[in-house]
Amino acid sequence: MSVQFEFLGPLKQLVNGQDIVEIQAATVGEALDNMKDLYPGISRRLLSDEGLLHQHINLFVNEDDIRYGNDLETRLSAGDKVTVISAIAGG
Amino acid sequence: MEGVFLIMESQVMNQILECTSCGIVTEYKPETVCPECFGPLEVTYDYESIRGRLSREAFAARPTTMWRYHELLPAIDGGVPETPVGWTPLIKARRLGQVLGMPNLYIKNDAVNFPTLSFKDRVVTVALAKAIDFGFDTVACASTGNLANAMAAQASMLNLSSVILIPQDLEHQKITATACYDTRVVKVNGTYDEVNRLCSELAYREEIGIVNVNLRPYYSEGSKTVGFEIAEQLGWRLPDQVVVPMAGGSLISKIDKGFKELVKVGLAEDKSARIYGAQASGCAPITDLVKTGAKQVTPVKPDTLVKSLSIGAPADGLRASRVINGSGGWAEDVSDEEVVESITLLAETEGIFTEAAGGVTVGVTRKLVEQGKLNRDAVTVICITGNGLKTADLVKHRAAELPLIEPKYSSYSELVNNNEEVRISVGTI
Repeated sequence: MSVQFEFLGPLKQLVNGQDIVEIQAATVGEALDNMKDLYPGISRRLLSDEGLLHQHINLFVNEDDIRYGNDLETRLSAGDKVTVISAIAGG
Repeated sequence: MEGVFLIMESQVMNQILECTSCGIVTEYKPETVCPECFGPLEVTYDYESIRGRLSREAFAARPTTMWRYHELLPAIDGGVPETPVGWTPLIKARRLGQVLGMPNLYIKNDAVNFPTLSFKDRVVTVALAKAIDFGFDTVACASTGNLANAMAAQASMLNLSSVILIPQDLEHQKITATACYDTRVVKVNGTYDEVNRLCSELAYREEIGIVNVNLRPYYSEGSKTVGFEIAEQLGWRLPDQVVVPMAGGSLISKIDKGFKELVKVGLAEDKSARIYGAQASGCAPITDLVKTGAKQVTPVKPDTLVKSLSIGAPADGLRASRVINGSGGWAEDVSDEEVVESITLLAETEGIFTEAAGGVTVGVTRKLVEQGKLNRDAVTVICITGNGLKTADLVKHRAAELPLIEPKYSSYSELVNNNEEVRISVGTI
C-alpha cells in the first residue's frame, strides 16, 4: 500500500529536499528499507548500527510516536501519513 | 536595545556550536540540530582564553545576576541583558538536614528567581537575547508551565511578540500567571510531547524564534548558571552531591557542564560532584534508563500530578543518564503522595514553599538517603526549581478546615490556650 512520508526541517535533505515522498510498505521499517536505494545514506542517518531509530529522531505515524507502539514494526495502512522530525528539548 | 542590554568589555566572541553526538562544528545561527547527524547542538567556548582572563576576585565587583558569568554564556551581540535574573539564595538547610540526618545539606532556591519564580527565568533571558540578535520579532515555546510564565514576562519586558503553546491540562495558576502578560496563550488538546512536536513543526514552517527548538542551544546554556552559583556560593567549591529534578533532562546535564567548566577555567578545584536525578513515578523515563542501563529512552505516557516534569519522551534523557552514571550518582522517583508530603516537609522545616517539582526533589533526596545512595555527611545541594504558589492546589487540604473564632480574646484563648478547636463554623477554600 502507499503511504506518505513527510520530512521536516533539516531532515528534508535526506530525500533531496522534498516535503513529501510516497512509498509502498506494510511497516515503518519496511518503508525505510525501501527508501534506501532511492535516497542513499538515509538508513545510516536515521538508524543506528543495531538498526534502531536514532535517539534524536522522532517518527510519527499519523499522530502517534512509533516508540509508544511497535517501533519500526509499526504497521502502516493505505493513506497513513508518517512524519519524520528531529527530537527537541522540553520546558 | 537601550536600557535593556548592558555592554560589557570582556564579551567573548569566539564561541561555536558543536554537535554533542558527532562533534561537527557549525556557525552561530538559529538551529537546534546538527546538519550532518541531526544530533543536538551545544555552545562551546574557548576555555583557555577565558582561563587567562578570569579570577575569583573579579566577581566581587560584578552584578548579582546570572550574567556575572557572561564569559561562559552565549555571546550576545547587543550586550549583556540587564534583567536581574539569577543569583538566588543557597541556604544551609539545618532543620530539613536534621530530619534527613544530613548535617551538610543546602538548598539552591530558585523558587524566588526573578521575575517569575522558577529556574526557567534563566534559560529564557538567554534565549530572548539571542532571538533579538537573530532578528526575530516573534518568539514562541512549548511549555509545561514554568517556561510559559518566564517567556510571557520577559517577552513583555522586551516588547517581543510571543506565542505560548501549552497542554490543556496545566495547573490553572500557571495558565493565569502566563495569560496576564502581553502574550498569546494557545491551549493544545494533547500532552506536552504533542505540543512540543507541534512547536518543532512551527520552527520549520514559520519565521519564529522558538526558545526550546531553534534557539535551544543558547536557551539551555542558561541552566548552567545554577551550577555556577552553587559553586561560587559554596566558596568556589563544587558540592559532593547534588540532587536535581528531571523533565527533559537538560537542567541536570547543564549543571554538570557548568561544574566542569568552572574547573576548566580554574575557578573551582578539580573534583567531581556526584549527580542525582529526581522524577515522579508517573513519568520516570530517565530514572528507568539510569536503573536499567538501556541504550535508549523508552517513552512513557505521563500519569502524575507533577505537570512540570511530565515529559514522556525526554530529548536529553540519554545524556542525563550518562551524566548521572558517569558521576557515580543515581536516580529515583517518588509517588504523587510522597510529592505532597515532601512539599509540606520543606515548608515546615525551611520555610520554603515549592511547587510539585520541588516536592519530587525533596522526596527523592529522602528516598536516596534511606537507600544509602546519598552519603549523609557529604556536602549536598538539592535544587528547588519553582515556587509553590504555582501548584497551590496540591496542598489545599492543609487549609480546608480551619477554625473560625469570634473577634474576642476569650474565643482566641479558648481555642489556642486551651488547645481546643472551637469550631463555630468551618471555613473552606
